[in-house]
Amino acid sequence: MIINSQGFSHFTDGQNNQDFGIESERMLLILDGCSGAIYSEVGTRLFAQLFKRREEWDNVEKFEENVKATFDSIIEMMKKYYPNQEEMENLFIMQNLLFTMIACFQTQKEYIVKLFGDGYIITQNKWGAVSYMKFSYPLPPYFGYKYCENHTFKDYQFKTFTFDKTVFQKVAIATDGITPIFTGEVKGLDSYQEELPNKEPRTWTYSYSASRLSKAANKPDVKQMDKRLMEGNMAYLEMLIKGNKKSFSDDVTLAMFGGEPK
Amino acid sequence: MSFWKPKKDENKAPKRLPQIPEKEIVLQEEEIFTPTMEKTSQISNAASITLPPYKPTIEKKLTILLIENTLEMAKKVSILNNVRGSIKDGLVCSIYYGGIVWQSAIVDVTSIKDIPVFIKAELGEEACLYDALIHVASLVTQKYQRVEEEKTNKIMINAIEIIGVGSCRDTTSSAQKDFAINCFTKVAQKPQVLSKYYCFKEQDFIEAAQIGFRSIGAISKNY
Repeated sequence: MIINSQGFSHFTDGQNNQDFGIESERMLLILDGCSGAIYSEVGTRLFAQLFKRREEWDNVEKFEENVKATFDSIIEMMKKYYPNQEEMENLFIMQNLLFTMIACFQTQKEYIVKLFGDGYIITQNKWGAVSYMKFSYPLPPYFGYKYCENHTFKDYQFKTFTFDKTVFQKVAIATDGITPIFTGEVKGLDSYQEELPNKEPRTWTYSYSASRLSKAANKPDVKQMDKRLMEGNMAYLEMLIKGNKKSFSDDVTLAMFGGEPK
Repeated sequence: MSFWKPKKDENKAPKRLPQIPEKEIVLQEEEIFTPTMEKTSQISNAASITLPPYKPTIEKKLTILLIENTLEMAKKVSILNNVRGSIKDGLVCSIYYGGIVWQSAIVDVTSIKDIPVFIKAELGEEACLYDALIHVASLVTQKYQRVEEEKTNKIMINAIEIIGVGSCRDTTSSAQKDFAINCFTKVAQKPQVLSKYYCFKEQDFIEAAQIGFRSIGAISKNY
């Protein structure tokens, strides 16, 4: 299941949605184009289309090799339009090929996440607790930098995380646009919580005036939202993200295995 | 043409009120109010009922710092101080875990400088994280949504934030891992309890996610 929505700042600035995602039964791949680049949405969509044409594109063993081969072929294809390396870097690579890649693979025993750039890995452990693993950097490392001479991230590699399925019920991946859900800053979050069918009634251990408690109680309970998120009800999540577009400044992409169908 | 004429009676001067004969009013001794001893004692009793002073209830947030008290952590004092410095208001309590678990007093954030950064005598390689998690769970249960009376006011802890800093590893706990995580999860899932863990390295994230800290980030911005 992949949910993809344009960020509100991109909508008001007339920019396209720069995020993109593809999926198969055993792999999820989300791409988050660099906001500073002019044609990020072109890069993410071009890469995804060509990557999907590769043999065994959703095989975890061949993933890194396939990513490199796809980048190589794009660079090779475009070389003839740019007379030298400097122009190639500045006018094509830096404007098209700077994007985060987060891939999640599912095997019988584990989830494997491979990450190049910034974003979130969201996990739910066997006790039901939801965790947001945040990868954030002042300057995100992008795979495209590997094709720029003398760049800091020329030798940077994919980060790999393995989650044992006996410990983790679910693993989701998301671009950094999902931050408002993580921080509980989605407008109207409370009204969404009202709909929760399994919400436990509040039981106060100390008798105290309701008016005083209401202050604390009215704050959005982000943990209820987290559980709802990991249930993976696609219609609900789409409504939450797209219906509250103004709360999401950046483009949002959320992907997980086994979500409830629409 | 005839004019209205007042009647004769109406034109008379008003009648004089009957005059009270001027005489000295001397109150009889019986009439003078002289409170008896009994009455006096009643009055003084009523005045001595002292109402309890009004104590306003102040809602405060409690931040629990869960600090790995190891040599590795001691090399990162500045980062730990930054975490401590980021706590702006409310109450603070530090729980250190190395070979043993040690808890500081709960103080106002303005007094945080009085709390030691580390327990130097205990610095080593050992870390009993699971024991510390059980201690945190017990502390949260004791304090969450409870009202405590102080000299001039009542303090109600309406929110709790647990901030862990370290490698999220355990070497010497006497508690079982599953039991400790279960205890921690029960309190961390309460509505106004938030938990976060700052790891030394990104590879430690998985361990923190196993425990169920909601927000997990790296202590430094190293790539």
